[in-house]
Amino acid sequence: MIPLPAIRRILVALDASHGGEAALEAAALLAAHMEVELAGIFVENEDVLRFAALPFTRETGVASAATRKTDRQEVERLLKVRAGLAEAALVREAERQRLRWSFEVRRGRVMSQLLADAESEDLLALAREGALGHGLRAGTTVEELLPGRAGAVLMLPARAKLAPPLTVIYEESPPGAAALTLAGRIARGTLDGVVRVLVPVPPSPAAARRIEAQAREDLARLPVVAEMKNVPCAPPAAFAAAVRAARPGTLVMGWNAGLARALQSVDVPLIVVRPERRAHRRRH
Amino acid sequence: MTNPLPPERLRRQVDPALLGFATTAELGDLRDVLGQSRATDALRFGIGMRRQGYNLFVLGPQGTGRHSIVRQFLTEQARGEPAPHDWCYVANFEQEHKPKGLALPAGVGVKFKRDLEQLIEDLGAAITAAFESDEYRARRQEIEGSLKERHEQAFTALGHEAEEQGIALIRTPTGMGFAPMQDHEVIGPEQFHKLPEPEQQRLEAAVGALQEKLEMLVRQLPQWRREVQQRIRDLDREVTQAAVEHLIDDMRRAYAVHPAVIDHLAAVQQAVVDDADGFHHGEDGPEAGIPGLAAMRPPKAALTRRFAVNLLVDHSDASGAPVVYEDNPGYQELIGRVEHIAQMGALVTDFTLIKPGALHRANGGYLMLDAHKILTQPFAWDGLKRCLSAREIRIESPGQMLSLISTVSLEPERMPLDVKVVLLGDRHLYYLLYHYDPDFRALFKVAADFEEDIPRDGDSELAYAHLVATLARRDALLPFTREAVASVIEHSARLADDSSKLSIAMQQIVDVLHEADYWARAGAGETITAGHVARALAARIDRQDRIRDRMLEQTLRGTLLIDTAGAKVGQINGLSVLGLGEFSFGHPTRLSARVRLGKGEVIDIQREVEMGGPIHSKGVLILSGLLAARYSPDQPLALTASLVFEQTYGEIEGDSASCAELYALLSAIAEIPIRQCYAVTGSVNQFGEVQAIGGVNEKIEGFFDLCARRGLTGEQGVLIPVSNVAHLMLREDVVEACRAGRFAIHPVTMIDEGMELLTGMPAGERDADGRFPPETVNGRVADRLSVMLELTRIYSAPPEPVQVEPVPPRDTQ
Repeated sequence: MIPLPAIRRILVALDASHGGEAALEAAALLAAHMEVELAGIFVENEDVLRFAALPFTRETGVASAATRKTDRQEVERLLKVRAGLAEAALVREAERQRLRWSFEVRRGRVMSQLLADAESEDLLALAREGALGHGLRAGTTVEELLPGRAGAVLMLPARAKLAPPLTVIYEESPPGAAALTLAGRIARGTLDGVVRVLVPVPPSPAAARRIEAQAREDLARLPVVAEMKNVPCAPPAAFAAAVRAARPGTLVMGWNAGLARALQSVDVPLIVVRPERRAHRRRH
Repeated sequence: MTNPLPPERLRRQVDPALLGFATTAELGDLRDVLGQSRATDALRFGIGMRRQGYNLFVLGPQGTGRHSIVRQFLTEQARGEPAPHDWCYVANFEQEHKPKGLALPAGVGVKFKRDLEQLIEDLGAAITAAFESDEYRARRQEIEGSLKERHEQAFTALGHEAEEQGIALIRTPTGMGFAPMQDHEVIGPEQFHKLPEPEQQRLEAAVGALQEKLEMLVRQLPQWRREVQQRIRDLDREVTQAAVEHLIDDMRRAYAVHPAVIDHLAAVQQAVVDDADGFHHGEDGPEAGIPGLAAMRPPKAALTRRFAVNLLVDHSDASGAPVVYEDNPGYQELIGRVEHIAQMGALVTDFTLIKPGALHRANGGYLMLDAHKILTQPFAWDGLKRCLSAREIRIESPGQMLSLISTVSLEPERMPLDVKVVLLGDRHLYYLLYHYDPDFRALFKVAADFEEDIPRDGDSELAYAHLVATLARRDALLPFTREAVASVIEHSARLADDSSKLSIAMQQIVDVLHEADYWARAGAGETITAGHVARALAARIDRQDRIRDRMLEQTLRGTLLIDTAGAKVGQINGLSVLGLGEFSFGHPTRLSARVRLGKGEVIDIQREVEMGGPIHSKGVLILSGLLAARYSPDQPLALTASLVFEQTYGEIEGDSASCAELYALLSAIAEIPIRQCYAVTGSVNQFGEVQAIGGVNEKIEGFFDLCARRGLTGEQGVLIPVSNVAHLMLREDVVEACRAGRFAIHPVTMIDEGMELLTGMPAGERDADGRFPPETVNGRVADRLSVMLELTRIYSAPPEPVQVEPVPPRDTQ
């Protein structure tokens, strides 16, 4: 089994939105369980500040549909207020979980700044639909974040929480094995101690049997109760439907761009793991 | 002069030999109600009369057994009548504040309640299963996903359109807008101004056009959201309808003969389908979904309550019409109430908190109420009358009834009322209500008047023996011997204060029977004898006669002055009765009269100091009329007389001493002494006739006790009105003394008879000239009055003029 890169910090992207609060709560829960620091980062989006400074730009309220003139100073003030709220929420959550914490305000483009600040030993937690312009679609975020870094990313849909059953998408690959290891670590205390494993199997029976056998072997090493179930690996819609039917509470998977894209339609927290270096799997 | 009464007229005794049994164990139960034919006929009529307003008022004193008799009558009648309908309240889904009432055959209500509870439970499971099915989840996700997809497509398309023009869609903390891009970054103001003018204008125009499109798009979002909500609702209804239909159909078939249930089931089905969301989520709360779609949903318990059945009246165990006695007939205990529970600091209610009143429980049968209790409970009487007049029960709080409260509350459907109400109360309550409350006359048209006593003859005495046997058996008492029964019957006559009547004040009789049983068992007897009855009666008196003993003691010590020997002018022994709860006793009181010249007044000192009641004052005023008309019809009465009850310190009431007052007055006028060995009771009219009084037995026994303690001389006795002879039921010891000639009871018809006995002098009648013979009581009275008149004339004549001789002047020096 591929060892999981040591996670030394949970880095949570804050924006004082509802989605950000859910991400903060989930991040704090993970930090408490893993006994690591909780680090908050609030990015003042440079694009938004420039937009507000232009003389002819307007903004339209999503709730009110009213269009109004933008003002850089007003936006800066709003961002400061939001940063203050985000910090207060972080402190509150850290004290509740008795965590070491830190908080930083950065200015720049959101994804670039997150990638710049995140280290390979960080688990980056963020809302899938944030308010600060870091993407409207989950796939976009994943595709932006993960190819550029090693480590783990937790993405939370709006109003979602880390919940059982913890469900791992098992793949016969280093990221898949790393995902299984992380799931085992999380499940031991934070959720109900049970890991469900969904094994995407190819149509070929022989290949399916081989993957299933490998999965059983890896599962046997997990220190938690594991239940295994096969799901079709293709087409993507069938895979997504099978995952939805398994009613996962929290999903964990190794980095696989195709599968991750297919899981956009499943509204549960998703942890994607990418080990730092490729390891060769031992074959029996 | 009158002769003393023979002993057999002093106490009408029962000959045990004539009763014809040894003990009451041989006697059967009394089948009919003893001596209440008038009342029982009225009860039968009132119960049988099924028209409005023919409710009953059972009047009569307490302790006559009217309560148990009425209950027995009602129970017998109710047994043959069908059990009335059950009554349920269910939710009115269209108007929640007006719960619907369902009348169901007896026993069906409880089944309906259980079946509906089961149905709701089954529906919950079926709906939950339907909503958790893969089909439903897929369809719902498809609908929700379509909205998200529509959002994404719209914004993506707008973003792409912007991108093609070198413009980015930007999300700000408070909205969305467009800005020109350069090298994947938003252009700053400086960079923008460095662009060629035409480019600046193009970008500005493009941003403006995109902004308009964005605004239009954002305006469409709520409409899209509503469309999705409607589609989800339609889906929920479709799924729910399929899940509930067969379950409700099963129940519909089971209750096909009850149209009201069928209607309610239709309403339940509609409500369940409309509220499928609540059934589905229940206590779990809303799922994470599209923002704005998760509306407030009631918790599962509230849903269960909403579809519950409040079985207000359940007759499943009834074997006939109900007979209900409400011991505490308060307003809400009568007509029911709507209770409230506290939730989050507010008081809330629903139809499951409607509680029944006595009228609900008795509907279709009979309701017994104590008149005094209902009249002393606020609003209860008005509430009862309103229900009886309207023939329906409208549950509302006193505040609502008086229009004091205007807050929204429940208005349960009115329950049709068909009940026979039986009020039990004293006679004065009946007459007061009849006089002052017109509604009462219209609503309580039947009066059942219970007697306190029955005529006494051989048959009634035997019936009384059966009554004693019945009570003894009912209360597990030892059998009564016939002598004991005879004693009970005689005591009953004494309670009736009439030797020719028997009291049917059952409570007092039952108490004596119980106490006799106690003494019999204390003596390890196997039957209750006359001795046990006598002991019970004596013990009852002994427990209560402390005051009597104290007064007798004071009299014997001379503190209270009562002579029982000798003769005195203007002084006589009157008799009074003191009532102490159940126990009353007689005691002699000295009456005295003094006369002097005056203007024909008889002064009652008691009245002057306001210690005499109106009846007493009336008696004294009669004396003035009698005196003037009898002795001085043609001349003024030239005396002033004063009368007083000596050594009395409380109010005197009644006219039973007017005879004694007249005797004392005549004695004082004629200056003839009265023999103090006698005591007198009786009232007198203006013609000198002696009239009946109450408490004759106690009065005689009171004087007898004093004389007995001082020593009976054979001369002592009591003068009573002849019309009171029938009331005599004296104690055995008094009768024995009379039989032995040591005491005597003299019946008196006219005051002349009494005066002859008291003075030993003939009374005297007017001769042909209208004069009384000189050496008679009346002659002496007439003479004294003539003398007083003459003296009055002398004293009132003007003084003769006196001739005064002139006196010569003295020499002065």
